[in-house]
Amino acid sequence: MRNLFRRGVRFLRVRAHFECDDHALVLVAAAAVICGITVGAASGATAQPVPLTESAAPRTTPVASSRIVSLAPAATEWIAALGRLDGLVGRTEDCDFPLQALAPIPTVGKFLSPNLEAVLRLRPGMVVATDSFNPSRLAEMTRSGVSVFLLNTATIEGLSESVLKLGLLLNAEKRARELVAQMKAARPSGQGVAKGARTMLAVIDLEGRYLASRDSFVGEIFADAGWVNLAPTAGAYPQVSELWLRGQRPKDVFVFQGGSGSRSEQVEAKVVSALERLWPQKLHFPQTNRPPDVAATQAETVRVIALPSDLFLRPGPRLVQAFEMLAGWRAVDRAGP
Amino acid sequence: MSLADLQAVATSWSEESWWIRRTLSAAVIGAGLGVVGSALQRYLNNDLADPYLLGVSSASLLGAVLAGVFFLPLLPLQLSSGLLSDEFALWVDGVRLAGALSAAVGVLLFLLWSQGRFYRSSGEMVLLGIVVNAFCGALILLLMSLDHPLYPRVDVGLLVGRIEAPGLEWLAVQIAVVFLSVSAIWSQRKGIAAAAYGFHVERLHSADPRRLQRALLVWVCLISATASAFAGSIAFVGLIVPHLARLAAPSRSFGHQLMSSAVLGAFVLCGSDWIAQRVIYPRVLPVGVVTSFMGAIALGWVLFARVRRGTPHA
Repeated sequence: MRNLFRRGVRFLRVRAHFECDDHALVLVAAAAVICGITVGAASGATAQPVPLTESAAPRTTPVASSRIVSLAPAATEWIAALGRLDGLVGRTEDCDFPLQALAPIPTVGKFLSPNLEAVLRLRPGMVVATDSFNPSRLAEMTRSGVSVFLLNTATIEGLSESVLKLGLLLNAEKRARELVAQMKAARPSGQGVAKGARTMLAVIDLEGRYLASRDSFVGEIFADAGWVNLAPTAGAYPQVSELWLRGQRPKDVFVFQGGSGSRSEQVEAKVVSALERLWPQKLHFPQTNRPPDVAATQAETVRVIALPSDLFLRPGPRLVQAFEMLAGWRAVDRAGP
Repeated sequence: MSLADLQAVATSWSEESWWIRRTLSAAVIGAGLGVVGSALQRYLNNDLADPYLLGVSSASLLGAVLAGVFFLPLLPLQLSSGLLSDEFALWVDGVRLAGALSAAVGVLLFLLWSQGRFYRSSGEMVLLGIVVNAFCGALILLLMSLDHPLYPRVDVGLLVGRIEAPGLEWLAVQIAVVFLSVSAIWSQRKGIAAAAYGFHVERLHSADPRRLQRALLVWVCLISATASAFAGSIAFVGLIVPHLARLAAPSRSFGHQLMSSAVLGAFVLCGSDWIAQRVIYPRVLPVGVVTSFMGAIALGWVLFARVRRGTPHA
C-alpha cells in the first residue's frame, strides 16, 4: 500500500514538471474540450429542432404582459401599440414614443448598450429587443434566465411576423393582427416602379456615407412606393465612397433628421453644405403639398427631401405614417409642375 | 410561501448568481493576465511586456471578432416563437472561444515556425510580435470600417473590453484553463526567472531553454485566448499588475511575485468592473476604459516611485 502511494506521488511529481511536448498536447486537449462543449451544445440544439419549439411551448403561452423590459425604441412602440404599456417596467433612454406615457418608466441605459445589471434589477419576465443587438448582449440575459424576444427588422414581412408572435406572447393577438393589417393596407404595392419611376438614394448617415439599399427595410419602403434605389446591394446599409456618390445622378435624395415630434421639412444647414459638395449642380429643396416647380423637373436637378428619422429608420408601428408620407410625395410627382 | 414569492426568490437568486458569475469571471481573467504579464516581463527582461506584446492577444481578439461576425449569424438560435433558444448563450461563448483559440494557436505555430527564420533572440521575437499585433489590429479596423451603423456585427464591446457573466459551463472552462496555465507557469518559475540572465544561467535551472520558451508561449496563448474570448481587450492589467506586485514586495522571489500578480490582477479587474458598472449608472462604461485610465495613473505612479527610490528595476 505504501509503495503504491509512493508511486502515485512520484507520478504526480513527474506530471507536475510538464515536458514541452506535453504542453502541446495539453493545448490540443484544451481545444478539443472546448470544441467538444460547443459541438455538444450544437448537437443538443440542432438534433431536436422540433422538440426545441415544442419545449418552448410554455414560453410561447402569453406572458400576460407582466414585467417587460424593452431594449429598442421600435419594440417600445410596438408594445405601446399593442396596448401593453402597463406591463412595461423598463426602457432605454432612446425610447421616446409615446413620450408622456413612457416618462414614469425607468431607463436601463442606451439602445444597443443597456446596463444589464439595471435590466436584471427590474426582474423582467421578458426582454424585447431587435435583431440589431449584438448576440453577446443577448446571451448575457439568456444566461440569467430571462426570456428574450427578438423583433425581426430585416424586412417588413419579417417584422409583420414578429409583431404577430409578440402579440401572441403579450396576450394581444387580436390587436397585433389589426396592426399588421393596417401596415399591409398602407403599404404601397410598388406598381409605380415601371411607370415614371424616379431614381433615389436614401442617406442614413451623410458623414459616414451610409445608404439604405434595397436589402433593408428602409429600402423596401422606397421600393414599394415606386422609387428606383441606386445604392449598391452590398448588405443592407452599404458604406460608399465620396467618389461613388459624386458619380451618381439621383433624381431624389432622402435624408433623415429630427427626433420624435420634430416634423421640420427644412433640411439642416450642415446637410445642405455636405450635399452641395457632392452635387455642385442645383439642388432643389421642395415642400410637401406643393407641385414641383420647373426647376425641379430639369434633368440635372437633384431633389432633396428631409424625412423624420423616427418614422423611417425605426421599424415601429408608425411605418404606416411613413408609407402615407411617401404616397403624398408620389402624388405630387404625378400631378406634375 | 406563495408561487409569487418563490418566483421573487428565483429572480433575486438569478440577479445574485449573475453578479457571482461575473465577479468570478473577472477575477479569473484578471489573475491570468497578471500572471502572464509577470512571466513575460521577467522572461523577456522587458518592463513593458504584456500579453499584447507577442501579438497573441490581438490575434485571439481578431479570431473572436471574426467568429462572431461570420459564424454566429449562421446559427439557428431563434425559436419559432420569436424567443431566443436556451442554447443561445452557450453557442455565442463557444463560437467566440473557438475563434479566439484557433487564432491564438495559429500565431503560436507561426512564432514557433519563425524561430531561427525571423528571430533568434527574445528581443527579435518581440519585434515579430509587434508585426503580428499591427497586422491583426489592421484587420480589426478593416472589419469595423466595413460594419454598418444600424446592424453592427462587430462586437465593439470586445474591442474596448467587457466583463460578462458567463454560463456555469464556460465559467468552469475559464477557471480550468487559467488554473492549469498558472500552475504550469508557476512550475517553470525558476527557468523563467533565470531567462532574464541569459541562456547559460537558464540551463542551470531548466533542461532546455527552447522548450521553456515553447511551453511559456503555449500557456500565454491559452490565457490570452480565454481572456480575449470572454472579456475582449483588457488593456494595462497585464502590464501594470506585475509592476505593482514588484513594488509591493521588491525583495520577494519570482514565484511570490507571480502569485502576488495573480491576486492583484483579480482585484484590479474586479474593481475596474465594479467602477465601470456604477460610475455613470444606468449607463455602463467598457471595463477596458477603466483599466486604461487606472493603468495610466498607476504606471505614472510606479515610475515616480522608482525614480524616488533610485532603483533601476522596481
